[in-house]
Amino acid sequence: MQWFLTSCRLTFIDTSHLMWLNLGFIVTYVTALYFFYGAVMADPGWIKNNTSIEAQKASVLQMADRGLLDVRHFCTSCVTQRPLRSKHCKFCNRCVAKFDHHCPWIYNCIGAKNHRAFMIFLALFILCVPMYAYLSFECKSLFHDVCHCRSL
Amino acid sequence: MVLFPWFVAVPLAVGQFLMGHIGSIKFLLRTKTPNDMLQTPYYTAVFQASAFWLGVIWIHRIVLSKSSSLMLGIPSAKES
Repeated sequence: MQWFLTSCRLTFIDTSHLMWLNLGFIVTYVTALYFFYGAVMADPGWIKNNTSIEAQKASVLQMADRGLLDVRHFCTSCVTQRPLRSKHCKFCNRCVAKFDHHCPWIYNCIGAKNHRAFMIFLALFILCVPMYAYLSFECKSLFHDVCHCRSL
Repeated sequence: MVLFPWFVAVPLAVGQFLMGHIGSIKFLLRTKTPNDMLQTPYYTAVFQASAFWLGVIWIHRIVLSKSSSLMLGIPSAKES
């Protein structure tokens, strides 16, 4: 009789939405981590810098001849020509194409080549957190419901 | 499972966080300025460890818990 009552009470708890939420969570979680590691491992768009003194001298002379030896076109830290919209990252000590920012959570610069992966990761991360919070809350309350039904 | 009441647990959690954070900075990383911190993989390690723990807890507490059949939306299949 007790078994019958428990079964009846539990069948009235509609939990079909939780299956979809669990599925949604794991898909979002795995995809978010995939794009996160994509952004971590990627080359964000490093600009090749001149390492030898001769190459640096040639670059400076060439830029001066073209009338482009100013801070917009020339990086004084890398001693090289840099494309427009690129910026020198003081943490990596390199110039990055379409530099957005240096992200300590990614441990990499966000630039031309990993900006897409970074934005997809952020969007999935924002989706993933409330789903997990809701699932944790529901798991706790369902567990109490089950215990309550069994004690009847 | 409740080990401590909230008024003990909250200061304990804050203290544990500060001990871990300050201990890592002072004794493990030995960095002097906040900018030095950004050149270490400390923050990415915090996120990666959190993400890993999130996955472990999801599997253990939610998928494999006693109410897992309810969480997966099949309440009567396992209980009856």
